[in-house]
Amino acid sequence: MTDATLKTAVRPLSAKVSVIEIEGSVTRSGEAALMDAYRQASGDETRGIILDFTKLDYMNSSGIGLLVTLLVRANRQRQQLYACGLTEHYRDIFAVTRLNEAIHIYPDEAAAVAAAGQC
Amino acid sequence: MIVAELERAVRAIGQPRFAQIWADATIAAAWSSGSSLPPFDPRDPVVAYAVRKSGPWRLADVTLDSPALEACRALGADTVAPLVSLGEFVGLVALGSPTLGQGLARSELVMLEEVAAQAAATLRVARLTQQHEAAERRWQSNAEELRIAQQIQRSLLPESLPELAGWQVDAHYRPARVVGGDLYDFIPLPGDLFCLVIGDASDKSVPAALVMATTRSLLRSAALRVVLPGHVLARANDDLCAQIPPGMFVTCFIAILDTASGRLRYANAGHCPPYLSTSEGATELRASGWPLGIMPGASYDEGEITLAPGSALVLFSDGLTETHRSDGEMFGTARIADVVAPNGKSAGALELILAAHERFAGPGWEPEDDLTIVTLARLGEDATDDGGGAERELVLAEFAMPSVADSERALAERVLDAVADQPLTSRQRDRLRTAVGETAMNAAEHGNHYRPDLSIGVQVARRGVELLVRISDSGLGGSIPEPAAPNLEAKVAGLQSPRGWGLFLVEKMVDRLQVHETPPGHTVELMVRLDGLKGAES
Repeated sequence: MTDATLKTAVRPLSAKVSVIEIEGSVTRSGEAALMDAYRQASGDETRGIILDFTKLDYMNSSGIGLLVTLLVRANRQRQQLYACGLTEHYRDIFAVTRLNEAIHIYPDEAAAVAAAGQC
Repeated sequence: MIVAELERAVRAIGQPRFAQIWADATIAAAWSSGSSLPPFDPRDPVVAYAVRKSGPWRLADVTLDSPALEACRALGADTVAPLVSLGEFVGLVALGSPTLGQGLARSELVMLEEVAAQAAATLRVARLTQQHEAAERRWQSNAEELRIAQQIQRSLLPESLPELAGWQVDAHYRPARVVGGDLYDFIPLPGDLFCLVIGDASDKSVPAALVMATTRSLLRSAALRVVLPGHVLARANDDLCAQIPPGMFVTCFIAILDTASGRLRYANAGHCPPYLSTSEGATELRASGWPLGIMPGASYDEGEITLAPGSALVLFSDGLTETHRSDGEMFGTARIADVVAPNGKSAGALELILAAHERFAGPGWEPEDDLTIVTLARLGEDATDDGGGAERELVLAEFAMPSVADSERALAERVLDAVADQPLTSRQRDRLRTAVGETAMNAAEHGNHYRPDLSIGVQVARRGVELLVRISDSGLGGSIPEPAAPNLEAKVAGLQSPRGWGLFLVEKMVDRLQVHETPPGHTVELMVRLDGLKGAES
């Protein structure tokens, strides 16, 4: 079984858009790492945050709960969340939970960036 | 030539008339310098003397009654330096000073002491190396023997399971690291007859593997000549007694099945009695007889039963029953009876036993003996009900896992392994993995409160086109709520906890979700259809 930790890397693309690269597992134990990454990604002028799930290994319902927490914070800061790099299975899960209505899914970072540029 | 080198060093001290290093027998044999001294006797008193009293010694001053020192004197030595390294005696240096009787000067004695110390250390290491190499060679040849024995043994076990209409035969064989000598065989016989054999050759070595090979041939040829199992054993026994090494024997249980009528005749030569599982319960099949290879002319009792549809025969070797757990308890036979007592799963008896054994032995258990299990089940209507005319259910896996946080992934992977051969699409597999993981998480957290003494029970079964995964907890969390669609807006608005997705997700990932009361707790049953029909919407 692979390591159950979450690793993140934050890349600000501009004053308004940042990317959080997610690697590993998004579960309850990743809360601190994820919230930390959000803090780093969230500048005064940030309007869009892209969650890059390309290196996601595993996510369970606790992980979905974390994304909802992220959503709550992003909403407060009037930021829009985007997601890219999800496998079909996790796109399914986003759809089943209707998370995709709040976190817009794009096939790759470029598409997400283009969409984020519009806001 | 170590000894020659050392002698040269000694001869450099004050040009003695002669100098010889006399190493103890184990070294002298390999590095003889052509000494005229006889082989050193390790019982000579000088050995103990040398360890106590350091040298060099003037022979004139030593009154010890030692044949070795006498021999030195006879050669004309007047000085002897013992060679002792790390408290071990390895030999002597015998020196004759330039002028007979004169002895060595003080400075020469000091040099001799130094050379002696070095020589002792060198010779001691040389002796250790020689001993180590000899032990290595012995070990190598042992390991090679074992490898050969293993190859012989494995080449004689059946390559595949027999296909008999109306019957299911399963076998499990796990060899120990050391060759164990277990044997099982399937021998088709003319006229709808079928012979099953299980046996265990005593001892663990090349001889045991060869005995097993011989026994197998003898049993096969006997089974093809005589009809009754008792006679098969008697013939095989007589032939084996004639050629088996003294002190060795083979236990053996043999059964001849009439595949059409279900009648089973059996005989036993000292092997652990197998279990018969029927609608009435589990009983041992007993028949007395000596193990093969001990008593020529021995005769063997026979028994006869008829296997009805739904019943099963479980054969095993003592590697199963004599499994010892770390707390000293033995698996024993009662556990087998408990496991194979009827529960509508006669065709899955092997899986049940393996799961029970795995639970008992725990992780990291290493077998000391070969473990062999062979099951024979008669297919057909099972005695127990499963909801009126329901299809027979086959258990694919059954195990328990501890209620530890973050272990749901491992549990889910085990379930996926158990269904690796089932016709699931990869999408179904991903969804099943998520469903099982979420259910397990709930069971661990809410059902068992993460208590380490409460485990999560998992059962994977196939019933017709349905794949079933049942996950049980101990009910500490009260009843399981109906899965309701979590309100995302409310959560995002901070009106509801961000959590609470588990059960909802599970229901969406499978074709059917049912919760059963299984006191003291609950069992969540997940069902995925295998025939490609769409179940729940995505």
